[in-house]
Amino acid sequence: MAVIDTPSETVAAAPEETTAPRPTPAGIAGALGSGDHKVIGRFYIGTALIFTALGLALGALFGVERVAPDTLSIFGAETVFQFWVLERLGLVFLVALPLMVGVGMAVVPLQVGSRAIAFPRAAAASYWGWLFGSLLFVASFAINGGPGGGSQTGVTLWIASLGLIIVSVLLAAVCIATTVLTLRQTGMTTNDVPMFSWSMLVASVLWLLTLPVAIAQLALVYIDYRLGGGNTIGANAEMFGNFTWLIENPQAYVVAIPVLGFAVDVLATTAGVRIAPRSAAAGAIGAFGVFSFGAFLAGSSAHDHKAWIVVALGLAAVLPVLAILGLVGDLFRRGSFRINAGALYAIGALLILLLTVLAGALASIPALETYGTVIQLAVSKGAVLAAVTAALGGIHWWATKLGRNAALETAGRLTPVLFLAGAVLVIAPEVASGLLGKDGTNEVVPSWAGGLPALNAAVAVGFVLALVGLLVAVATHKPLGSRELSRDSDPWDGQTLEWLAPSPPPLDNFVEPLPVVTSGEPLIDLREEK
Amino acid sequence: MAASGTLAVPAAEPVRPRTVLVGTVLAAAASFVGIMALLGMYVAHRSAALSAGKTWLPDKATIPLTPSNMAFGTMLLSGLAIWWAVDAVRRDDRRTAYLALGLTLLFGLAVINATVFIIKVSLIPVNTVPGVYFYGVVGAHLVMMIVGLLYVLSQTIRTLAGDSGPGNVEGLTSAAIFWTAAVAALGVIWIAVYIAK
Repeated sequence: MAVIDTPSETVAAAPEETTAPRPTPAGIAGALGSGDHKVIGRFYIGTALIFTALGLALGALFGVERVAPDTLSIFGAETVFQFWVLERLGLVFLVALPLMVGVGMAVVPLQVGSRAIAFPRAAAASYWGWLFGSLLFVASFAINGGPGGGSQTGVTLWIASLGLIIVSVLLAAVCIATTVLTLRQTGMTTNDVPMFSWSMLVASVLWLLTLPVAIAQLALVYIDYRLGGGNTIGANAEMFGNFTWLIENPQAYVVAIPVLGFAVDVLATTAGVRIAPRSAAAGAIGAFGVFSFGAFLAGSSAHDHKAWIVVALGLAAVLPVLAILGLVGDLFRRGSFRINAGALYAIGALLILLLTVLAGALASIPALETYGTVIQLAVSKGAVLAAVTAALGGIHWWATKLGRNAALETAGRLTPVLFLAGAVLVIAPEVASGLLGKDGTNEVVPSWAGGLPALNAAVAVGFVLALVGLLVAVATHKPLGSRELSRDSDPWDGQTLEWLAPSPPPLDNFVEPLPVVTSGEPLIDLREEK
Repeated sequence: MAASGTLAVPAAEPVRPRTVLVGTVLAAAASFVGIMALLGMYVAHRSAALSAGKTWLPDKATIPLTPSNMAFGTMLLSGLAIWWAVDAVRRDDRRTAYLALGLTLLFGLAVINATVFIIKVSLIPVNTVPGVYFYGVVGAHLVMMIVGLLYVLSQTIRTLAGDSGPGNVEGLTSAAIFWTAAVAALGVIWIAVYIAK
């Protein structure tokens, strides 16, 4: 859809409009000016995958640097802090969030039976804003900016670019949440919303309720740095301390909320049975969202992190993940267990998330005195790796809706295994360093010099494995861009409405009129009616 | 739900699914959260300073109460005026709608003027803790008011063009909701910053 077109959702759809798809604008102008949620989703995914490769490579290099930070000095003594900030915030705002937004933007309207995303122009603006902000974010470090940078222009550019990135993500969240809330197919109640769309709704609401706090802090940092001399909020290097709550327990989990919805949808389809009880699955995802709310820790001190609410949230976050794992076990007990790449991605992402929330629980127990240690790195990196695994799984699972053909199935099974192994090697050593390294001889604060050196080597290997997994995933996704069209629009015997769309879906998503939805699995209903 | 024995007919597809309304509610909620976050940090730092036996505002700095009372009173009037406009459009009373929308814009501009005046006369140095947080809170709300006024202005133009009517007040209602969030935010700022200082 070109942005000059009238979006479908703002007018009452005439019957002939629903059956006769309009021609898709072609060429570069058609792509750059597109308000088609699938095109925007593909843009998000493609760009974020490039940042993912760079982010994982940076993570691996920091793993090596932390083996012998005094002698190796890969990043240079003067710039290592800036690279550290780039890695930690970049993995969230340039990797995990845009990947999830991209998959959600492409898939959610199809899942709820909508012919367009809500506010297509805003959705397009969110991508271009995010892309522009991300490039400026990286550029700010290149000109000696970012926290700890020597260039005032570079530091200011870092503040502005991070603000632009967050505003763009918020814009995307409004589009996705509004689509789920208002543009559902006739008959689809909130209880019938597919679990991935439901998890995207929960995640979007959480982003909308927490990320404005980061924008507020950016405004304060800007006022202080540019107008107040930088001696109030924190001088240049301490600026980063204002934003660490974004990448710590429990706020770090907000990027991984859609992991639960993706896993339930994929595994229910793989098992070939209905999700039961749906309210339990939806409730667990909603509860995980509630337990991920960490905006109240903005501007907090170490003492605040030992408050009962942080301890309670850290421990409680394990329960929804366990509940979803229990539901998944029940799905396979009632249905058939088939191993396919989608199921492996789903199980892999769930297990990585379980490891992450367990690390978060350990980081929350005051008696262990792990607050302020490298355990926080396990939490933030684990959440990002879970989100990336689920996003890559989403691209594989919905390949015939995102591209022109299905992804390579056999090779695709390798990626989740590599990511799971990589995540174990990233999370477990950081947890062990945090628990065992407090003997006074080792640096265990979350910094580029923190952690036990021998265990940090394992972290580097973990990131390398994840990077190899990413490259394998990209190779398996090659058929998505092939000239040959897929003959099978529903390769998995799907249960939800997106599988009624042809592959690739046309501009208005569906060719045939959709059935009135009466349950959470409308395609099972259709098969049973036949 | 249809009674037993009767034919259960599916509900008709909604002609207008209130997309703009829901999107605006989400955006207004996010904006409100941002301002409340700033306010929370302002209050926390003030509380910490007072608990330590220090004064909060620097010497010679002041937050004048009279203009801030006037600003909040005017903001309340604008909040009433916008809903008056929504009601008038719903009743197809266009003359009253134009009057109410004009008053909303006028009151809104007056509040912006008053806020700028408060910033100018407060004399709080920006290189102090109270200065950074005060200008952060008031400045962020100023931005929210400007965005809200532009939203109201766009809906005023649409109403003048005849786009809004008894069957379609969604756009204007959405602008009213955003503006009401701005009024509520100023209410909290008025109590926590202007009165309590």
